[in-house]
Amino acid sequence: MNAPNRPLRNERLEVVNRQDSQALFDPVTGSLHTLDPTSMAIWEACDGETTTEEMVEAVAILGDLSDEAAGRLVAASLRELRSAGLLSSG
Amino acid sequence: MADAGWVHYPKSESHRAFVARLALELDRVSRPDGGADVDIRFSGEAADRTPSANLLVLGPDSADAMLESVRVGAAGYLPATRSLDEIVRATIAVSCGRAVIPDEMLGALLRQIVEDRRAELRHRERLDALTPRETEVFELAATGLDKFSIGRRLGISPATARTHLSNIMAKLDLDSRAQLVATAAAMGVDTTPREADT
Repeated sequence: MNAPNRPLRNERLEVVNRQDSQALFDPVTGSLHTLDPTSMAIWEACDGETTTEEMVEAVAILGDLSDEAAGRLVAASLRELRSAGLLSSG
Repeated sequence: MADAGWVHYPKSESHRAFVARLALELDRVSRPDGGADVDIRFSGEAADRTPSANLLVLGPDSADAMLESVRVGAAGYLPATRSLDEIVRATIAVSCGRAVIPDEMLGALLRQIVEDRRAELRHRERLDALTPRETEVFELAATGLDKFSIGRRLGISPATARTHLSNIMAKLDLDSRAQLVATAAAMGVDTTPREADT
């Protein structure tokens, strides 16, 4: 089971490279999930080892954001990813 | 540019751009496992020709090449196969001090930032093992000063400086002064050589 602050992506999902964006394809449900670039990067970082704190720090550097803003962004992305079933439920 | 899907990371003051194209055939170095590393050689040229310009690299469609480019100071990276329109827009963004990374490479950059921060923390933990005085000696030794110069600068005898150096080498598990300098550089300590006292 992955720890709550070390989210793990749903490994059955496949990254689909499209002309202008990337999406996640679920071969079980046949659904295609289009994510914004930041959410996609955060989903890729969900390896079960990287903590949410590390993600916040990296997003702050990457986006030139305050820790608070980056924290809100990461939290919102993880909420969306989780509710869409894109993260492992552990 | 945000609507075009680019990410912008910290801005710089410069308003010029230097576009470098990686010569893929020349810059690829074979690895034993059959893969290839990209050896970035443009930095010296770019720095010499346009020292104040921001660098946009056009290279292979490879996250490794992008990471290496960012590591050596590129403000932006774009696969060379992108359209002229995209290259022009990226050049403008970089010249305005913004950083440009293609969306699909954002995840790789984010993971690299996490790795770099972990390495930095590991180094910091090692430095925490040193006493304040040892830290001072370490920082001076990192600039290439010998025990005599370190002693003079800190008001301690060369023998005491040597003892501190021995303790530092043991605590940081180092075998040579060269290793000490390399470790210091990896820790972000200034290793610019200093003139020895005469």
